[in-house]
Amino acid sequence: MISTVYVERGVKDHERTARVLERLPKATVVECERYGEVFNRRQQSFRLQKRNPSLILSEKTGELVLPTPAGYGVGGAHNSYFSHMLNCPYDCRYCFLQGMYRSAHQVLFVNYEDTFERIVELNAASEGECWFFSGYDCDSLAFEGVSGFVSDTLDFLANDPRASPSGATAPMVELRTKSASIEPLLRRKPLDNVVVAYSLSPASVAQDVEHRAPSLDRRIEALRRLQQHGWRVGLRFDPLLLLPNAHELYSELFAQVFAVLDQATVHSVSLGVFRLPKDFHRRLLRLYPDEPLLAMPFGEREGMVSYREDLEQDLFEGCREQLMTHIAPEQYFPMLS
Amino acid sequence: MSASPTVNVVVALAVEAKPIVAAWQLRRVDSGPFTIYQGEVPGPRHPARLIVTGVGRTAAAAGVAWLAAHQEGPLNRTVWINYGVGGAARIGDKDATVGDVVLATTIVDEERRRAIEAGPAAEKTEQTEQTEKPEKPEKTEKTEKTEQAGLAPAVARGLHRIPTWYPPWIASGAMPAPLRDLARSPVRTVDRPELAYQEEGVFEMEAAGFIETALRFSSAEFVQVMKVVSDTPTKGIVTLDAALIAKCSGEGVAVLNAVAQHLADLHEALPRAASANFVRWVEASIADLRLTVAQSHQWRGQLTRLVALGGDDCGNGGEAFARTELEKLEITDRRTAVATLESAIDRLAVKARKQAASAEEASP
Repeated sequence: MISTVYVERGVKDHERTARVLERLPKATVVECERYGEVFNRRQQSFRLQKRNPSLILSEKTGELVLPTPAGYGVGGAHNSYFSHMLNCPYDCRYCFLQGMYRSAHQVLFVNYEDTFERIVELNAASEGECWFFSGYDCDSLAFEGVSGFVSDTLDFLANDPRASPSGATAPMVELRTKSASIEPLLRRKPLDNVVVAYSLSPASVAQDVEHRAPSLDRRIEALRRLQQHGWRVGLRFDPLLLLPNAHELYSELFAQVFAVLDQATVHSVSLGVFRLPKDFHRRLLRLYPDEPLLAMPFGEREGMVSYREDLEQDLFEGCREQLMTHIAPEQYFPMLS
Repeated sequence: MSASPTVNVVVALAVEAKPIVAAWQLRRVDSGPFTIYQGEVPGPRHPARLIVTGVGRTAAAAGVAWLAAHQEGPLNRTVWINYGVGGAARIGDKDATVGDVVLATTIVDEERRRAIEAGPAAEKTEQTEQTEKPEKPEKTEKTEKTEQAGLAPAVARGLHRIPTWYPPWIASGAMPAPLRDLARSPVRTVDRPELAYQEEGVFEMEAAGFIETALRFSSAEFVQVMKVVSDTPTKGIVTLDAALIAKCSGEGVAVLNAVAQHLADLHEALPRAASANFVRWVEASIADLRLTVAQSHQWRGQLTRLVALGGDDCGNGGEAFARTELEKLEITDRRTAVATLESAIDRLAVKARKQAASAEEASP
């Protein structure tokens, strides 16, 4: 339950602010000048705040859409990402956001339309297929009950002629999530330029490490229903974790997923390794010194920390081999740093 | 088990302290320039200290610094609460009444806010008096933006400099009764008693000095400000006397107790501190090997890793595991000590993986 909502003065009269506050009638509302006053302060405990994060309503300024890191994509010519939020309601122990932000409060940027405009501009200015990934700094769907982000995004994609799938060069949008609350998607007609991509981990990881996120079964069921409804779905096995019995666990996971889903209509499947910038890793260790997941053999390569190279190779290759027994090569997109 | 955190309560006046001292059964200790009481928060019995600082932000800041300097045990295991009385016209959307208990959502340095907001007028007068206009300073992007939004330049420049703090309040599903309906409102620090109470919230004289200093010693979640309304527009500050202040302060003690317990309990969510025995053992190993400062940091980091790997699901047993494993290694060479330990832990981590895998395969 959100007990405090900070509202930037600049958005206090925004229509979406009113809508969000209506959905949180019991929360204490506190005005602030800019979200950074609350969010970026020193001497905050991410770990503690995760127990009961506040919400900050803000206006997104500056670069609204950013290029993705190298190696991130599902076959498009141009890859960008955008975030309507910072942080998410889930508490995954491996999440890089814990090392990135000082605060676990959730920042919701209410001016979605400015981002939509930027997507249209970038899409029009580029040749070839442009992909726009949502859910990089947050979860696209998990906060839908309060934010209405997915509904508003789909309205924009369905109704704006510059973005609708009927256009010659429609922007492609990926909604990345772990959420099983898919009603906003099931209530409407699927769009060809939208892929709903799920982050999936072995059941034991979902239970022990991805705190507050839906179980693996619920995620697979959500995928099944979305697929049945006609939505294009993507599968993101990312990050692969160096677990006891990792090869077997991932092998079981792949079998479990493809026993339920129609493999032929899955849009894309990715494998990604556990990696994060050195500073983020250091902060993560400070937050969770008692976490065995972070005590594994790590190595540093070009400022990024990931599993020691030989172990990473072994894990990645083993998983890739298993995965390729289930999917066609053109569906596979490795996410390697 | 980790040591219980200390709850430090900072009050301005002895009459404000009186009801807390009585309710918590605190005893006065010999303490130099400040009056200090010591004892325990009732209930789960967290250690508590209370300091009487005198009136004003500077006195509050000095009191916090004094208490921190005389803290027994680690400073990062402290809770800080500024408690006292103040005047208010409105709390949220309701008229304030004497005895209302408020937890601060924000602490605003009113004096500096007013000075910043008075800036444009002062600047304007100055400019008209000058015969020759000085060259305008180059506009920054931020200033231009706020000007476009209709704000005067001085306000624009000062916007991000109005000292305001936002103490994060970590609520949870099972909050005790006094905390469930706790009123939350801004607290505004002034240098002279407030008579107009123009803005919403509680006007008082210590919180800004308190919080600015206390945040040097503890994470923001553990630094909170609580005020009890002692005067309102209809019951002005002139009606205040020692008896009324003590009475108002007493009205909030039950809530203070609940806030103190809640914050002390929150410490349980933080990483468990290493036991004193283990810390002594680690430091002895550093001394034996005569490690440099940099090597010592790395050594401690690797041993923390070893503890994490050896702990059970609840994190127990890790220290014993680390001691056993390190003793097995018989490391004596300071030059290679850290590297030897690191590769041994790497091997252990991978071995643990393989062992778990074979155990799983063997199970029916």
